[in-house]
Amino acid sequence: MRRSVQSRRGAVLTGAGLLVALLIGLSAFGLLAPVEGLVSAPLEWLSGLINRAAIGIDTAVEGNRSYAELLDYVADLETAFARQQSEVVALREFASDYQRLADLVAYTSAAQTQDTIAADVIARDTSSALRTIVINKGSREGIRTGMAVVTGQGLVGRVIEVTSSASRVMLITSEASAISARNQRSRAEGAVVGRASGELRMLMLEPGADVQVGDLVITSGLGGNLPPDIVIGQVRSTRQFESEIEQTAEISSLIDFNRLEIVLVVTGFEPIDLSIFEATAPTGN
Amino acid sequence: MGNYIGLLILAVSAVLQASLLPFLTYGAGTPNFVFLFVLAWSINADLRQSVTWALMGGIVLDLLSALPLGTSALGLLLLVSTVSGLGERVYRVGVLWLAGLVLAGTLFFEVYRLTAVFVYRAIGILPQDAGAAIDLVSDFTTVVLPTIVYNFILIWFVYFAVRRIQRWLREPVS
Repeated sequence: MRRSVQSRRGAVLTGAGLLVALLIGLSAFGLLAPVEGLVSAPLEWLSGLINRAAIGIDTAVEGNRSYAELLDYVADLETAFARQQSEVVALREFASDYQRLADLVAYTSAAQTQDTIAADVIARDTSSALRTIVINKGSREGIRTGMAVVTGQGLVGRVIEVTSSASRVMLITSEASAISARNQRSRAEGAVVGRASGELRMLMLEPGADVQVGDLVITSGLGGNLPPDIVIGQVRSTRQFESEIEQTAEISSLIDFNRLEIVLVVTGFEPIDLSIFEATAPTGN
Repeated sequence: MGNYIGLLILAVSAVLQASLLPFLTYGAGTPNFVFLFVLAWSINADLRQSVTWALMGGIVLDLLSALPLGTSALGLLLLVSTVSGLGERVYRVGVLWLAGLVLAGTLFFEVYRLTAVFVYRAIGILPQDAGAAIDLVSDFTTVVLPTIVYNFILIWFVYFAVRRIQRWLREPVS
């Protein structure tokens, strides 16, 4: 009797184990992608609805400040506005000079040719170890793997998976993400990597590189994966030990990745595949 | 009937985990509702039903994740088979038993998923940029530990709710 119960138990577990192994194999090689897209669509739709409602409530709660706090807030904004007015005038002058010079050499920057598609964030990864989001635009709207995803406040991430009606985006805060970046003021170059805590760190800065707290960090465009000059974040602190051969900087993104609602997918930039050069480069042997 | 209700509960749990929880939690870790429901159900259910819940829960989790389908199901399957095996030796489910199960279970499941992510990245199934710095120790302290704390707090409510449903359904209990 006991042996029969145990053999039935073994059969159930073996059957389930084989089924799961088959699923993992098929899914890992992308053979289940159409089915996964179809089955996950209603879940993503429901998730999108709840996400919208949560953002609405969160915004209402955040916006419910006291009158005194609002007065302080308005005063801060007015001060910042006045300071930036003078900067805007100076920048307009620079832009006009730049345009004249660019016309002379018939130069078109990548930023001027960027078309974008707006998309709603409908879900976040159920695994805390993976920092990805799902957006409600897919291959039907022209989204392709590798495209950059941004908001008005800067870089969000890169598309890593596309179905007909949705796409998965790996956030820049993911540990698997490394982006070629530069300091906007000093032009010091490095790589911004995500961390498990959801923060960003700039690595590979030269030991004497001029990096100061408050500097803006932007994409450099090196590697050809992302367009240049997209804001990644602001330097929060720097660190350099004598024993280390590089300097690192902690970066704060201006984006709240837990409260993303609408993002823009940059469709006008074609990622450049540089692997061909790696394949044909002389090895030196 | 129990399986239909299970599918509904697990699907809603996964959706809430993917949409609402990031607004309610602090830091990188989040409670894993699907895990909690599968664990709570398997404590007082037979193996066949527990396996069904593990499969359903794992699949809905992976449908809303970048992980290949079946990855979480395998982790949950290992979990419920262990719970079922241990359950045969336990006469009554007490507070200590439940606390031990949720602590050890969450630790196992989160480390399992972390290892799966690490392996998938290493063999190229999940993307990883050149130069990206994977820090497993940091992953453990910022993701796994907070998840254990969240799950430990929530298991009592989930277990109570699951027991009510199981009694209502008159499913076999140990």
